[in-house]
Amino acid sequence: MRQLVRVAVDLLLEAARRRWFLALFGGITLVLLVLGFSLELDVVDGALAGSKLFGALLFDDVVSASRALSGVSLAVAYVAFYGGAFFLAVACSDFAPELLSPGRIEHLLSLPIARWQLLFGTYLGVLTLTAAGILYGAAGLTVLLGVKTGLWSHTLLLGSSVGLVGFAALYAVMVCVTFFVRSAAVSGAVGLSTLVLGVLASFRETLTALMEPGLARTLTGWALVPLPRLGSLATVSARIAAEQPLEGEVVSRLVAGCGLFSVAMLALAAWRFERMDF
Amino acid sequence: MRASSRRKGWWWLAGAALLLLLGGWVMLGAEPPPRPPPPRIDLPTRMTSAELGRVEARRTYMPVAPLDDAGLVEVRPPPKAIDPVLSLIPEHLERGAVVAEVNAIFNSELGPLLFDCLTAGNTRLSSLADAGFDPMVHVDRVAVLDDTIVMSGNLKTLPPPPGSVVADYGPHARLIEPPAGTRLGVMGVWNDQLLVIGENAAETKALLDRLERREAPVKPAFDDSIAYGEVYGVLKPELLGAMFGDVDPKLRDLMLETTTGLTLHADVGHDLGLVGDVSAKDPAKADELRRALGSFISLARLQAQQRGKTEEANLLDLARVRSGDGAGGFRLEAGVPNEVMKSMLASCVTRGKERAARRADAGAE
Repeated sequence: MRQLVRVAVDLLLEAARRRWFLALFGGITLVLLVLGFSLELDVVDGALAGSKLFGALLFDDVVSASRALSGVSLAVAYVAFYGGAFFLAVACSDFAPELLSPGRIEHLLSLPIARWQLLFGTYLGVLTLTAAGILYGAAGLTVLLGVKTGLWSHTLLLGSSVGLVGFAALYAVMVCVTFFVRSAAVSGAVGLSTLVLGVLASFRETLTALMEPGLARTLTGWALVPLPRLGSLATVSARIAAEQPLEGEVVSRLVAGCGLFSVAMLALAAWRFERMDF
Repeated sequence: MRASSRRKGWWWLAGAALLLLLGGWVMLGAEPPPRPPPPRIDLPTRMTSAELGRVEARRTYMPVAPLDDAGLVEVRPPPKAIDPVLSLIPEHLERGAVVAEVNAIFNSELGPLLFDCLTAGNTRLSSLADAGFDPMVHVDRVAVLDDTIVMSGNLKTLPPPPGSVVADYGPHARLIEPPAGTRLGVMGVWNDQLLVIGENAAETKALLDRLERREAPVKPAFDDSIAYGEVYGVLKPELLGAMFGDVDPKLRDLMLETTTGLTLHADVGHDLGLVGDVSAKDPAKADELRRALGSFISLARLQAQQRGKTEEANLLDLARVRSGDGAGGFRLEAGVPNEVMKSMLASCVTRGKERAARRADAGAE
């Protein structure tokens, strides 16, 4: 376990050296600042009297501030889930290929660290990095909305943790693919494809209903079964952020299934890693 | 050492597969319960041996013995045996021709319910029964050929409408002219086996003349090779377009542009199984129509599912568009399971009885 943490910490130090943190946090800060200047919420006696985003009206009539906040949080959580997954899939695409770069991998393998520890440590490092970014973004949004409405809620932070679970599944696929094709571009592309497939898997029943009954429909239905339900996770994340009711069992199953998928992808990567010669 | 590590590597692979399956199973539990698979419905896609026997049994040498003006039997080689009902189909259809095997339908599992649905509250049936005519027994087929109605069966006991004028027309036929003011057209009964109802007396006479071969024979728009299923026939694009006109005008236009018609076969005795072979005017454009119809069905299925109309979605699951004959044609298939048919017919009977009761109440007042 200690070795695993060491690899993760090493990755974080490497990211810091490459000013990766600066870019990530700078980017998130910039988004928060733009939102802070463009979002206008006038709360009078607990009711939202006026609201604008980039000058466009958000709510036509006077609504309670808590209801408006719930709506804004819902929208923000959806945008953050998909936007965050898209951004991170691209931004983190070169960590795993970097691990396997000539010179570096030989050096790492000469250390008393098992291959699977290298793999899982790298994964853990990237997840820590993204967790920090997601936490920073969610906390920033919470403060921004709190200051603008006077209502403080921690649900955006909770919702963002579900977003992290979703990204964990995406990144597991990206890491796995790297051990078959060492390319940051392919890794990123596969991550984005998994995001799309994960959304499709969430609408498995609806999607298959669009197809004519037969072998193609059955195969499509079964092929989507093991994929993480990223669309459903986005909805869970948004509903948590908006303080809307959720079925506990459904959420647990979605999160657990996503976790199992991630570990399965890492196990596949470990199998491949064990068979590679350097 | 390497061999050992490679053997160890298989555990990762097995673990990955196991976790993937486990994850899939866990996530399946988060989905709404799956819809049960649609029931299997037998579709009338080809002529069965029983139907072939029926077709052959119906072929008749007509007329039996034509007479010349002097009342003498004209000697000429017998014409080809043909089905009298199908011989009345015009050479060029305007809207379409559909034949229903009424006797087979009425004597099937759903027949009594279907009969009750069609006749609920009809007071004329009792007068037919008084005359010894039972539609369930004595009617064999009913055909609608553009604007003409043809009914075959044992029509000896079929009473003419009250107040009608009956006159002989040739050696085998009689003309029945209903009283003025009724909506019925002029009827012709041939050989006590066929009843034809044209729009006017001239049309009815022309049909009887065709049966007697007084006119030059015409080649019907279709022959008995498509006489399978319990309902069969040909629908022309104009009729198909009219059917889709209100639902999707673009689909109607595409139908008018690209098809020459649809050959229909349906079974209604147990489930409703419907097969329609669309023939193409322009193969490329017909393919466009095929895809448009496929999308139309898929979208309707999706909408039904989203609205929670499970039964409707299940019915649409039985509808499909199959690519067809290589000449650009394609096949439409649809089905309604027995249980749904029963429930639909039962509510039809109830509605019919309610309508009749309301009419009776209004009459009493």
